Amino acid sequence: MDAKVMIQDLAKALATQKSIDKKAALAFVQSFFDVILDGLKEEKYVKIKGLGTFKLVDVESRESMNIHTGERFEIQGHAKIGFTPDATLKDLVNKPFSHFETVPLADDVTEAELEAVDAQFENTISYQESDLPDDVESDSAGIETTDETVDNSDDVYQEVKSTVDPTLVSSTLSAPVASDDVEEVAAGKSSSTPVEFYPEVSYENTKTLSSSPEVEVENTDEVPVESARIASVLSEDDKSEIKPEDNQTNMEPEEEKEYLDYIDDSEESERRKIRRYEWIFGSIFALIAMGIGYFIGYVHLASRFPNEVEVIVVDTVYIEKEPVDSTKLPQTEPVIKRDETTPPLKTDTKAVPKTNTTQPAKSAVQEVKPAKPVPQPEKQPVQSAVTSDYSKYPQVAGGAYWIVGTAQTYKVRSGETIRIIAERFFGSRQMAPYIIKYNGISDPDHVAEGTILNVPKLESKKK
Amino acid sequence: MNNKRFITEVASQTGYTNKSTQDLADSLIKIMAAQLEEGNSILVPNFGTFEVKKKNERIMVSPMTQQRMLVPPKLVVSFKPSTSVKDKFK
Repeated sequence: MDAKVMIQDLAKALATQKSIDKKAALAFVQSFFDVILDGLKEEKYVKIKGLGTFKLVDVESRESMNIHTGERFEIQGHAKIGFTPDATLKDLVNKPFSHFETVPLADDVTEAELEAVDAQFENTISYQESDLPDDVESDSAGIETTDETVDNSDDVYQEVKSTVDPTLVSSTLSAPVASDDVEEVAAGKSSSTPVEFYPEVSYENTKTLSSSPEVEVENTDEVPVESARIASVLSEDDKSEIKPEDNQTNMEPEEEKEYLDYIDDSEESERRKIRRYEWIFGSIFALIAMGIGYFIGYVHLASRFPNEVEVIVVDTVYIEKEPVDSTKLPQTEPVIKRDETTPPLKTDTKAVPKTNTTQPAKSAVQEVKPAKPVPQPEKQPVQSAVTSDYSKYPQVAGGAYWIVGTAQTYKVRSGETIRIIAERFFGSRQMAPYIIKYNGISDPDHVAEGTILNVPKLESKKK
Repeated sequence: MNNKRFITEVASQTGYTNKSTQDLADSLIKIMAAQLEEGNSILVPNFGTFEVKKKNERIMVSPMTQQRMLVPPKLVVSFKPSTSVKDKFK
């Protein structure tokens, strides 16, 4: 390849091939090219079968400019030797690329887009490679949680939380995305996994969002409706899939913001990829959420006109077991109760006994449901006693620890970041959010030297 | 000058018959083609250089239909005359 071949080499090859004298072969090659030149001189045109056509092309004189002096001068008209290879030679040389074909382009494709596609392709490849180990890790986490959820909903609740949160907060950004992936996979594999996993994530969200009144209002209304909706969903699998995704959409932007706080600059490109993934997931969830919203609205409307709702076919699975705050929404329950045949009267009687405000959770699914919409931890049925204590302090949404007070104060020294301080006190840079939250730092990236920080005392949520 | 006249001319210079000249010329061209196929360049003193060049893919607009086409990359044989030959034809 790329070697240079002299006519001597050609003559040698010719001599061996035709078994003639080497000298004669060389003479022949020499005269071969000489004749081409002679022919060009005579006729300005020489065609050789198998090789191609040599042609003299006249170039007209033109003006040009000396690039150094800017002086104009004229390039004299001259003849140029052009060579057009024979078709057979052309094909032979182009053999490596012969499988390519000229393809028509769509009107809206630009050259930049073509390049972008190339780049994207490369990106996705590298992304998939880097993602692999994380995927495996969080997969196992997901499985672990499922097992435990089966027996005790309360424990599960916290268990899941602790497993999920580190990934959310963690500085390696690929982790959360990976867990998203896993959730998707798990949803396909077994119905039980997502049931626990999703609600958990969503809970954190609503917690983060709790400051906005809009969410709160929506939630309080939703509690019974939500359960109603779930009851009405025909199969358990459906339930688990639909519900969590609804919440997932809520959290998408908030969650992302949280990530961004902890991202190092070096991870910027990775973040971009992740964002794309998040966007895809987000849009999928949004679509599903829209469907759910429609359904909720339908049930809600129906609850206002109990008599007309009887048409709705609903599955009453475990409504009786679940004592729901009937004072809030007496109508919803009846609606669910009713089959086509049941009269409205029956529903009223059923609703009456359910008057206690906090209800013991019967199953993991039900337990998580009330927890999710309620923004304040006190309202959580199980943890109401404990959380009242924690609510005195700002808590990190979705964190694995409660902030229960100030352990000590610390003066920031030159060159220190919150992450470094977090590593010193808690052994991990991923604990930085606790310090940020507890001290109400608005700009965690820039903490002035000499700032006095309260280092929070932490207590694991997992008992 | 077409191929037939070219062969006759070479034959008269080298003393071979037209037939054997054609035969030799074919062999020579085959040898050259084989070298070019390998990607080698052929240097012929006082004549020029044959070499293989890669042309990048490009977007072409059909003048007839205004349809834009993606033209694939290709390898082409190029011939660059030596300076002595260039001077000769000036």
